[in-house]
Amino acid sequence: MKLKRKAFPVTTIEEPKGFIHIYPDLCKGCELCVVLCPKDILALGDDLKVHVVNPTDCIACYLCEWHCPDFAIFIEKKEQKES
Amino acid sequence: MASAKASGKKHSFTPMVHTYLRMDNRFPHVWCPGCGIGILFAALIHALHELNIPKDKILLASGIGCTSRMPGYLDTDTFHVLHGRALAAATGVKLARPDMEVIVVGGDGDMLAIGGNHFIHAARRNIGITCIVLNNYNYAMTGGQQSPTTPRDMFATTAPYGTIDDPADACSLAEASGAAFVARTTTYNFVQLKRFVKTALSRKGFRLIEVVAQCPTIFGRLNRMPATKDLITWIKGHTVTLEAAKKMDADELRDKIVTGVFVDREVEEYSDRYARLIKKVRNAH
Amino acid sequence: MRRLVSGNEACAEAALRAGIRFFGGYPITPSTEIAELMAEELPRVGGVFMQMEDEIASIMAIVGASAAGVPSMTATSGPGFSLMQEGIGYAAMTEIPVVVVDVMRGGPATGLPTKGSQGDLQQARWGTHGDHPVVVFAPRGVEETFALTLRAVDVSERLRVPVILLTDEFIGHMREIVSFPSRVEVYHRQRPRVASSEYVHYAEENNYNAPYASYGGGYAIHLTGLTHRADGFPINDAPTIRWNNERLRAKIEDNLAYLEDNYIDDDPDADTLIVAVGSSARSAYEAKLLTDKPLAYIRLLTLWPFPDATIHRLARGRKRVVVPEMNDGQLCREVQRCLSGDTELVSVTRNDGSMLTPQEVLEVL
Repeated sequence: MKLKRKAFPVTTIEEPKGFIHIYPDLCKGCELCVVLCPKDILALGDDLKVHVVNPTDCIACYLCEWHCPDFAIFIEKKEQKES
Repeated sequence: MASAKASGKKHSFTPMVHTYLRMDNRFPHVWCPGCGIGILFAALIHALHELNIPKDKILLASGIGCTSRMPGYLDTDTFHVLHGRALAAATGVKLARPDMEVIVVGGDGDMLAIGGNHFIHAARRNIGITCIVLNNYNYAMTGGQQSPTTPRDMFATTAPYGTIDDPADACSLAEASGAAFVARTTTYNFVQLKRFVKTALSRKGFRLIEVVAQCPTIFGRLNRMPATKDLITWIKGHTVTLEAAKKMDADELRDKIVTGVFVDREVEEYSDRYARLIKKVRNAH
Repeated sequence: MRRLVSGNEACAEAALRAGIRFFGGYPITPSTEIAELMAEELPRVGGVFMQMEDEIASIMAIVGASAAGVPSMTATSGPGFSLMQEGIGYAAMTEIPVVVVDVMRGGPATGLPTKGSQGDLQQARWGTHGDHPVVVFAPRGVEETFALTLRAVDVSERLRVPVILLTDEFIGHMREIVSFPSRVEVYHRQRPRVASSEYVHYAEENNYNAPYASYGGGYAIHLTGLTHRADGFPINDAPTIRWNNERLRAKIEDNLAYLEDNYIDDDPDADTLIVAVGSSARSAYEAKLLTDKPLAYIRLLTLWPFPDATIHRLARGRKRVVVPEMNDGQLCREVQRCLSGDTELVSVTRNDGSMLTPQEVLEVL
């Protein structure tokens, strides 16, 4: 069917292990990702949207992406270079 | 609180999930912050994607309620039917087009109260439908009334003094009705949720997955668990695996959420049986 | 080819010839024979018969099968017809073509399962909540049951509406000789001629007599019972709600001439007009033949939409209008709406499970 798709802006934060992609317009500030992140790298900003507050500790475990009900946060793992 | 600097260089990435969504001016979607339905929805999309099920073969149907708004957002053939009647309508679709992957989603009220009769007979027939019951313990869309699954002594707008009913068990009902695949999981355990959906989609006949989910805005607040993390932690705390449950007595199990695969057996799907019947009838003439 | 068949048999045969390939139903006297015949015949033509768990499941199953591109039908009687109302409203709102046969029996409640009546005339129009398009045909006998079942399938597919065929226990179970046509012209639903990316399911140009998509065609359509916009998604703003209601109304209002279907036997000298429908019309016409008084007569084959203008025209300037029927006056109240001046309205009703007789009509002529 005919669909007028809407482009939602994305904020991409680079990590040692990969990239965190956040869609602020989709985030409803429910805090699930913040609570479930094992490394506490996420927090709600003053805009009540999720932000990465200390990026280096991200272990790219996908828990935030898996528990986001609004399709607002995604992890993109970097290919491990064969050492 | 300083937030990390967004990475400068252009980095094109499109989330796989977004490619399955009808992302128009109806996004962000209608569900409340922290609602478990979006988690189920993502798991369903991941499962469909990993099984390479062609989009134009998918039909997602639903009845009425919060969960029932899911088809509106999926970029496939979708069917938002009447309260409780999705399984009956989906049965018609499956028999008209047996080649389609027919999935029905619904809430606990939609599927087990008003839809209970169709649930029993869809399972009995083993019509080729993957049926996902999103159990958030109440009628949230209409404001938090008690549903057939609301746990004993918990609160709802129509159970202001706490429920006195024993909750229905969708999995036992489906098993007793003859369903080919029956499993229960929760939105807390995404990996298990996705695995069960994938397994169900690859089976034949009637496949039920009950997904216990948090409803913070309505059920959570009515039961003194207003914050998003309260209910999902409550769910985690009350979950026991099927294996562990076997060693627990009825009293211990009373308020537990037993997760795992209860039934997984081979059946001849109903529309295959009907195709065989047509062949038999036409050859006899 | 002429055969002696019952009304229910004629209905089932017509449905098959018209291209019905899915029947969802539930046993209920006096319509069960239709389901039994479909159970036997559909597999022979590669179709599907489903006995569902109740009438609600039956109407929803045929809605689903039709949405997936297979012309579908159910048959029931009063109690089942009552259970199907929400589903009929859903078919109307989503513009899914289905045919619902109501073999009327005495009502309300369990009523008179084995005796006929015409007690569902208003239910056929207003049974479900809200304003909605619906087309209702009413045969007077077995041959017409065959013809109007064919038409019901045709009209439902062309206008994308639920069509209801109102017969009754008398017609359903009596036998008459029917001359079956050798060939029946079947309307086949046409697929859209535009690509999916351009396709709008409720576009202006595909309200009726136009191609539209079904499930499984690669058009990713969305159907919902909620009031919706052209692409099918739910909406809450007044202009779009008006647009949706207007679209549904236009299916009928734009096609009144196409839908109207009357048998008229006018007589310019007559100062009395008989208005009748269905099986009771047979007794009314018999009465007309038994008297040498000049009488004007109209029988409605299409009950809804009601032919207001035609009734008004035929009644204008006449002293009396006589309306015989087997209920407590459901047709009479519709006729009254169409009268002008001081035309006297005479209601002849019989509602005891027996057939209205010509004598009862003669007494008032």
